[in-house]
Amino acid sequence: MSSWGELLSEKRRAIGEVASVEGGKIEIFVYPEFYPRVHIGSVLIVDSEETKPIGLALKLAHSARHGQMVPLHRTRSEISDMYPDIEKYHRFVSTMAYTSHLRGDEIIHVRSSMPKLHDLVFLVDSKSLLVRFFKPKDIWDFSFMRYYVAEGASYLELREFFYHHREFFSDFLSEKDEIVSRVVYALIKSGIRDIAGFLEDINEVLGW
Amino acid sequence: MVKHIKKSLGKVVSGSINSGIKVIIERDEIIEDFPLGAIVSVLGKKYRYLAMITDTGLESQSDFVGSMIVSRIPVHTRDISINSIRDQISKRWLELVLISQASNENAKTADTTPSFYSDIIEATEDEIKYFFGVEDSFKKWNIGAPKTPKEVKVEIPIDVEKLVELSFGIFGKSGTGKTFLGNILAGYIAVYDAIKANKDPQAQRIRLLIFDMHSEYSLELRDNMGNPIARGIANIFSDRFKRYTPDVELADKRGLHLLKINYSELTVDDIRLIAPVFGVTTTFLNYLYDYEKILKRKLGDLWVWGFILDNNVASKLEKTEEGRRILNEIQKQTGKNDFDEIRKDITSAMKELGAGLHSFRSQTSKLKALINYPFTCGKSSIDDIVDNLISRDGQSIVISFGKYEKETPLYMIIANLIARRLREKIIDKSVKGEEIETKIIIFLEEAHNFLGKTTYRQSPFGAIAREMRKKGVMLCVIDQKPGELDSDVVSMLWTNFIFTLTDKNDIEAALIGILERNYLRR
Repeated sequence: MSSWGELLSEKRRAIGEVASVEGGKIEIFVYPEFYPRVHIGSVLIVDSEETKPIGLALKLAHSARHGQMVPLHRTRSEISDMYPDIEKYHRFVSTMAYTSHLRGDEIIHVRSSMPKLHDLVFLVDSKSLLVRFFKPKDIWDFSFMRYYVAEGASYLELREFFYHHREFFSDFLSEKDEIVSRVVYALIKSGIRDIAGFLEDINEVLGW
Repeated sequence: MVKHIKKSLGKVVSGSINSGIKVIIERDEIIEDFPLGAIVSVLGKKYRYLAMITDTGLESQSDFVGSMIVSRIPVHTRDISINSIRDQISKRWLELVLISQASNENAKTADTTPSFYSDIIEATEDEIKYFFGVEDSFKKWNIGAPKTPKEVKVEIPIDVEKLVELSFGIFGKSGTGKTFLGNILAGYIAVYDAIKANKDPQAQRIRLLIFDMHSEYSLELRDNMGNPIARGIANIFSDRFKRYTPDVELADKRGLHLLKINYSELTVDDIRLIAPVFGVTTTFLNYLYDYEKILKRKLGDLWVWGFILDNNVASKLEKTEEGRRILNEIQKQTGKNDFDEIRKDITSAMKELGAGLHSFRSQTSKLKALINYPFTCGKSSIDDIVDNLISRDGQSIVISFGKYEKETPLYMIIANLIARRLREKIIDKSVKGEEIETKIIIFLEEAHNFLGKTTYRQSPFGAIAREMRKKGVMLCVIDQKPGELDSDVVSMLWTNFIFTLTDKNDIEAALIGILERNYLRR
């Protein structure tokens, strides 16, 4: 997947749709079959009419859609065999922290217009599109972290964000210094003071 | 008004005239470019200011940096991280003392504070020239280049006409360049005087009297290793300076005039000033007036010789013509040929002094160095020196001590004799209503010998400093220990040239009378 247009052109690739919008948090109803592919720190893009909101998964939730959950005392495969459509009665939700937007072909790490309910949401997981997200204008830019932190991302969410993208960053080991300096700059702008503790985490999860 | 196109080096953020102006340096500037003592300009809303950097420093979130240093982050990553946010976690500041402020064509001592967020810019060549003026090869002569952050080399001039209006001082530790500057100033004053005389032959002339301890005004300036580096000012302008020396050999070799002194011209006050240098006791000093009375009774004008005279001293005096003349005079005066006997006579007369006799016997041997100096019993050089100084047709005088450069007593004797005679002659002229034809600037090295806390009241230089300003006699006080000068003297100095000083008292003394002294101490 090398272009935003290509990603957004097939609605079957949508992993969910906008369920609610409140401030900088966008709640996404995740289609059950895509739920396992969404992680804390995943980059998500909303196919709105004009600018396309982009953000990072901040929370994942899974609950019964109607009433209370009834205990079944079965293994997962037994449940799938017995109730093949059970997930239609479940609710898979991801909260996305709105951090950036796509305008034309350009990623800008500032929020823009809000999406509407039912706008389709896509998972950004191809390397070439992630490069465009992390390096808009060909320079590493982690300023989206300011919104992520502001919407509630703590050390643990940030740790998971890097863990989730560890393979992506491992391809850029030669640019490690630049990545570290940009991340630290973004963190200090986010108001995080224990940079040392945080850097220890990054080093640990990225194996740097 | 000078146009400003210079980049801002920082912004004024707080401060006051009394406590100094605080500036935060722009993020793309390097603090190492801002040395103490450097000159910068401040662009206020109404005025622009010339200011000097008196302190610089850093502030950082040291807890943050500390936790980074002790963390398990690899050193390289840590360094990268800290460098990436250095502007967010640290700030660099300057403290300035305001020197001057200007608006349109008027520059004056700063009496306002620049507005908040005023720009600090590099003091350009035009800026510095605007505040300090430009050399005009008459009154204004370049004296050096101020330090600036980016090392703009602009010479600034000293206004010689204003400088010589009042006494001034040159202070600094040994080897810092006091004599070098003294030569430069003496040269500028001499040239200014020559040009002025050419323009107006009836104008009051300026004469310099330079006590040249190490012969660096009359012969050559030397570096700290003793190697000659430039000709002294009196050597360059030999037609304008009459060079004296008490050193016979130097006089012969380099064509200087031999300076002779006659101990008969010394007063008891001179002896009181000089004697402590020989290490005599306070008791001896307390009896000086009594000794003088008795010695004058016995030896008349030759009374000073009475302190040291005996057969041993006589045998040394026999070796020179001047010495033999003195012995003859003493023999005539006393009617005796044996000098031990004369000594006995004197000590017998001292019996009436009780403890004074004991002190006389034990202390006078300490004064025997007097026979090593270039004495005469005839006409001394003092009158000739003073006449040159006070006459419109005379010359400036340099007294070069040659081999006696470490002989503080001789320096004090010569200086005191000249100072007293000079004062007497000028007061005499003044009383008679005669025209004071010259302004005299006395360059006094090791000035604490004459203007110290204990000597100031007794020394003729003290009287000159106190009384002679209106009669046109000024002092150029040169010293490495200004803290030992009487505070009255230092407060009479209107311009001070201060080189490196490290002793707290010396720094305090050198800065007396300067408004911003709290900030210049650093």
